[in-house]
Amino acid sequence: MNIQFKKGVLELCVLSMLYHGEMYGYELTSKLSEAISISDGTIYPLLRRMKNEGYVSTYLSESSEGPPRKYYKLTESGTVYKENLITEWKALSKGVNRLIEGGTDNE
Amino acid sequence: MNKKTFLNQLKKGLKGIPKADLDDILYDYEEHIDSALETGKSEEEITRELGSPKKIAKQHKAEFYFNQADEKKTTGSAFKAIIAGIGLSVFNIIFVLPLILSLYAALIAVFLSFIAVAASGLVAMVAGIIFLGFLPALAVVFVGIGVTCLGILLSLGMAWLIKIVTLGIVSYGKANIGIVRRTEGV
Repeated sequence: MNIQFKKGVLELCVLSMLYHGEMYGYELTSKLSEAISISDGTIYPLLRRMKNEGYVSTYLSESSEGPPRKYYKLTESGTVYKENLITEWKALSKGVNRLIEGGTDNE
Repeated sequence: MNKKTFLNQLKKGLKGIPKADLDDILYDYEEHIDSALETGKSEEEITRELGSPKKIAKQHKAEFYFNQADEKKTTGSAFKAIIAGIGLSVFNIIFVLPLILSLYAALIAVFLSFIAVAASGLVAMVAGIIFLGFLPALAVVFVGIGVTCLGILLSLGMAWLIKIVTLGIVSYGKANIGIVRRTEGV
């Protein structure tokens, strides 16, 4: 499995979440850290990199309370990238599951 | 740690980043903390979940410099990226640093020797012109011109090679940074 894939697991989660709907920082990080054990703070550098790479875009939106919120949105190239990561993820998890369950290739 | 301490430590760790980018990064964390406060969490709880501000600052710094190196592709920006990468322990400093330093020392030595070649050609040219009264002196002038041009060409080639090597090192760092970011978080 290529190095790009390992790099992509966390990315894949973020991209998938944004695919289902735009989110602001706290919403995204709290849901993500609920699912995977991860410090909330490390997701922001990742979001920034994905923005630099053009996979997500941001916009500010007023909120009923507090300062305006920065919303994250998947771009077109982000959607394509997400599909590629999902294909790789499925291939890997299928292979790993087969090994865990002790199956063989000649079933 | 309360909100103010967290943001101050983050700001301290981000020293060197342009103000616009710094403000943008700080805003994200301020917004995060404010949003979390609304759900009834305490500042202590929120900053604990965020993790170490020093570590976060290092990640942002590395990402900033790597992005700069990628966009600008200058040797200066590449060096900053490498140093930021070392700060994040992307590179094994004990193993990689002597390797990188000796590589650059060798490249620069060759570069300087080519400049010396160009300079010697120049000296020959000047010497030839001074003694122009004698017939072989004219030949020396032309040889001098040739050697100077050769030296300049070789130096330019080396400068180009140094740049390519630097970009290679940066892309190696870039490939690693995602892995480190992931393993540090998960």
